[in-house]
Amino acid sequence: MLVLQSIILGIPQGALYGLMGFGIALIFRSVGTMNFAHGNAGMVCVFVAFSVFTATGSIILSILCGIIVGFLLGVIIDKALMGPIKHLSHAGMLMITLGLLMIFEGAAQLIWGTDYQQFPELLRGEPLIMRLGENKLIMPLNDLLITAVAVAVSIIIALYLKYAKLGIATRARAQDPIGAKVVGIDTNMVDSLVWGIGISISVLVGILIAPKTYIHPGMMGNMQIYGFTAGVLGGFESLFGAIAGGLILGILEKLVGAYISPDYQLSIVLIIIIIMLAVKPSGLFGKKSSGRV
Amino acid sequence: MKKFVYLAVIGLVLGLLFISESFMLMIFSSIIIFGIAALGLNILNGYTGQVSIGHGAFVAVGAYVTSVMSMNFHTPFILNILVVIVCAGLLGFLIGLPALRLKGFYLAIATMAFGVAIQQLFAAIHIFGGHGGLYGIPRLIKSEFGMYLFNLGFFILMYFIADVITSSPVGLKYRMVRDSETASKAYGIKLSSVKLNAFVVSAIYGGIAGALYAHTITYISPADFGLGLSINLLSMIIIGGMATLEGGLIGSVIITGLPFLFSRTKVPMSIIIGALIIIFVLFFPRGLSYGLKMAFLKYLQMPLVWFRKLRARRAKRDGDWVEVNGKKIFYTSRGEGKPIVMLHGNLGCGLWYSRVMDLPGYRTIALDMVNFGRSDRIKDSEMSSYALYLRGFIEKLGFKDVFLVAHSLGGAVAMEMAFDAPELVSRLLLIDPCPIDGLHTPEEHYPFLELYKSNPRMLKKSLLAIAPHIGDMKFLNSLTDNAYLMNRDSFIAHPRGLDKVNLTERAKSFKKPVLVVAGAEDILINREMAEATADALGGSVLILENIGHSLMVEDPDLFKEVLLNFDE
Amino acid sequence: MLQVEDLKVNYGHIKAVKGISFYLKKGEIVSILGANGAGKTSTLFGLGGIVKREGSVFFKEENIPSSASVKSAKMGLILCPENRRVFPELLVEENLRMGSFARGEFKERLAFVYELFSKLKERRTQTAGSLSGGEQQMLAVGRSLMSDPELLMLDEPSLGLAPVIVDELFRVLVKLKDKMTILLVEQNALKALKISDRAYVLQNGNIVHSGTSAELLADESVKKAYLGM
Repeated sequence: MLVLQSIILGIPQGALYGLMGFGIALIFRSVGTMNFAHGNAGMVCVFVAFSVFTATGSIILSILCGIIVGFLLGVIIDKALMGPIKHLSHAGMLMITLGLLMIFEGAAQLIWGTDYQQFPELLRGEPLIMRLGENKLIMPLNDLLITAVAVAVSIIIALYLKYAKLGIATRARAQDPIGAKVVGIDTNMVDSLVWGIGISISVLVGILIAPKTYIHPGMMGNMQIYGFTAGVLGGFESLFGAIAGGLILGILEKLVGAYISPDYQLSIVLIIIIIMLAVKPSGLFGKKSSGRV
Repeated sequence: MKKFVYLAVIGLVLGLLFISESFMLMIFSSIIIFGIAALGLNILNGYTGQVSIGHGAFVAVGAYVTSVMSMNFHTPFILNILVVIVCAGLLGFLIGLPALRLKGFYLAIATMAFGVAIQQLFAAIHIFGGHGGLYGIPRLIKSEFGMYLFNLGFFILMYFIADVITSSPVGLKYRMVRDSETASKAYGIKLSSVKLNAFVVSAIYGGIAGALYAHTITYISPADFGLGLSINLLSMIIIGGMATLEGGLIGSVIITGLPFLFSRTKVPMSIIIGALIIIFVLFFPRGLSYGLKMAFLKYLQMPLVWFRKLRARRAKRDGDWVEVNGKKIFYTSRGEGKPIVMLHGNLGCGLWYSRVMDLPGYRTIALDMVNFGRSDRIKDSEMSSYALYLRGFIEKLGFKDVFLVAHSLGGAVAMEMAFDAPELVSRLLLIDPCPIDGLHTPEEHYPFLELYKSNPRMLKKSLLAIAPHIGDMKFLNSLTDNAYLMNRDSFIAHPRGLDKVNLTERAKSFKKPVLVVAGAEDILINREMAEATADALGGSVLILENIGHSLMVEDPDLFKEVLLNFDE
Repeated sequence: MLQVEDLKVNYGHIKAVKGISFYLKKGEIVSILGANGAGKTSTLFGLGGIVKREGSVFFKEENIPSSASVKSAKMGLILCPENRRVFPELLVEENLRMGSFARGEFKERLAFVYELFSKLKERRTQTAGSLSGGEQQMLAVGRSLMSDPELLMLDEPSLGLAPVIVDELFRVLVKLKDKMTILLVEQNALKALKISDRAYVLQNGNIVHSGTSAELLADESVKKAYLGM
């Protein structure tokens, strides 16, 4: 029964990890940059949402503002920094995004301080109670919402990438930049768009976890690591691998917590990742033996 | 060996200066300790090219192992450090294994995951004090100054070892693996063992740094060794300089020292560090170490340049002045008889011929061309302009049928003038001349030429290279002094000008006797170039063994013999 | 239709195209011939805005700036690049849809392309990566045709294809002639000259011969160097 319980509890958490990994994989696949500042870029925008919330008291407005600012931030990162340095080596780009990670963290400290700020849950009310044999399983409504939002966003973006003209263009650009140019796709514009969408997703994840973790400059640190982990598990080569990887990760984490100790959750998960990377870098669902390295 | 003495002396002096301020000494200790860790990371990242953003883990291992051992079992430090080395090395080996298959971003993710995993493990295990960490770790030496000296000693030792490793064949393998894995494989290098080696060595450095940290600061917690520390270490080598020994220390001075500078302002350190990382990666990828070295080479010796110029101007040189087109030209003249005009090369002056001026039956004239030595400056540094002034000079002295001797760059000037006014020239002796179709200087040499302007030591070395058998160092010194009298712009303009020389067509109409002499050990003008020049001029070639680029300063007697033979 | 003056393409220090000038009139097929590394692909990349270039390019009397791939595609100056460059994980029909990204009415053009290459219609729900080399080449040409080109620049369309397929491809090109102007880069010089009106011969980034196809076919030095006769 513990297994089933872990699975059910792991899903909302895993959906968030998946979403985080999805954003990272989207940027990585399309533009070729592994964004180590992904979490913190989202964190800064969650703070913006928080400021809007304190000023207006409207949750919807604050979330919208946060996501829009996230999109703009992504576009700015691409236009001002990453776009002009596409020729740089992977190590160089890695260091640049690490620099961004530090800058965002510092900026948040400077503007909003290091205190923990509260953000309301999106959905309150009677938790869902499930009976599993003699155990009762309590599932807060907010967790259900998180799962629903994560699934919905993934599906929307999937549909966009599959059917929208710009969505297909995004995939085309990732597969062959020169081919994309000759058919008249503005690859710079597509790149900016991808950055914008990617960072917006990170903001969304941040807003969804904010009621639990509170808002503070370090709130997305672990989430980003989980996002990478989800990407590694599912394979960065397929976008939905990251979602699946995230779900597996969420469940795995709960299983480790239940059977070993919650203290070791993160460490064990991370060690699994390292082994995973060494054994099958393309991820559980990857086709090729090694991807875009 | 010198640099270790310097390091020790500077470290000691700094320590003594602040001996009463234990806070400053503690900062110095921290700088040194993180300098060791950064040095280790540089071996892995800078020298071997394997990105790691989990290096904090090794520092953590060092700190925790020594703390737990000395707090719970009161073991001596020497034993602790051995255990730390073993543990850190083992851990480096463990993360090195999966890392063998990974590159770039994936390696970064793996090392990051590793770093965080280790940090979380320490936080989770009871004996390590959990999230709260460990307090009251015993200090090895009571006084802060003593502790500082202890750390300094360790740093110098580790620096020395890194120096030995990186300059050994192993270090060469590191760099080969970094520069091209495919090429290294072709050379029979086992990639996996080299990479593992680098991981282990760099992990041990981290571990030792951690052990020193624990005993110096006496309080550790998992938060000290997280992703933040790993990024800080990386930023140290980015800012200090990748693949340099001193880079880690320079970076550590900035990254470890900066927070204390900014402690009064509210600007968070991470903004500054992040901005520095980006700025350095984009604009100064070689780091401060390279910048400091260049600044040292460029500016620190400037007073010496002034001194040498002054000495060159003051030195006694008998001679006269002739005015051509409003510019004064300096020359020395010796003896009476048939006139011989001698032209020096780039960076030269009439002094280069001072050992061969006594030729019975001849009037020898060695001039400083315009832009050189004591003669006036002109605006450009073109060979054709020099040729015009040379022609004016010969006409002013009222010579006809001059025997023209020219060296190197002077060769190009002499040819140019001889083709313009063949009636003034009776014969041409060219000593290792600029080839008839120009002398190409590779673009990558120009930065060095730029350095010659301000670094007498390098200039002197390069003059020695073109006159390897000069023997008399005093003479070389005075030639170097005089080289600095040359127009500063010409340092770069001359090689550019020589690149453009192309006289092959015009040489066809020149019918006077020509001899091209070249030293077999000349590093600028080889046998083929000399032969091509002689061919174009319809002259003959003489190749001299055991002579470099500059016959007249290397073997004056042989020069005279060659000259007299040619004139017969 | 197209007027190129003093076109230069550099990759760092390497000068791939060293200042060439040429023109195309409406309705012509013009070939650019030359050995490997002569600068043919670089010329087309420069025209298509894929790489930076110097010199002036006028298409339909309008100046096309350097690196303006989007503008040239929108105006109907369409490049069908070397090595096909189809999107391997996109379906055949998605590839064609991308062809009409900048211009061209999707449904209408799709019918036209399917009529021209019936194989593509059969394979339209397959990924491009799963097609054979010849089919991929057809897809690449088809994708270019989707954008209703006014000037189609084809880079080595016959590369690595079986002779039968090459013949089929050239038949299609002749068919296209009354609908568009074609600039053809080919290694297979004889085949190219047979269908083109005029040709330029590139060598080391310079134009060394030019003239009508008949003239070039009669020129002994061209024959020897490029036609292997």
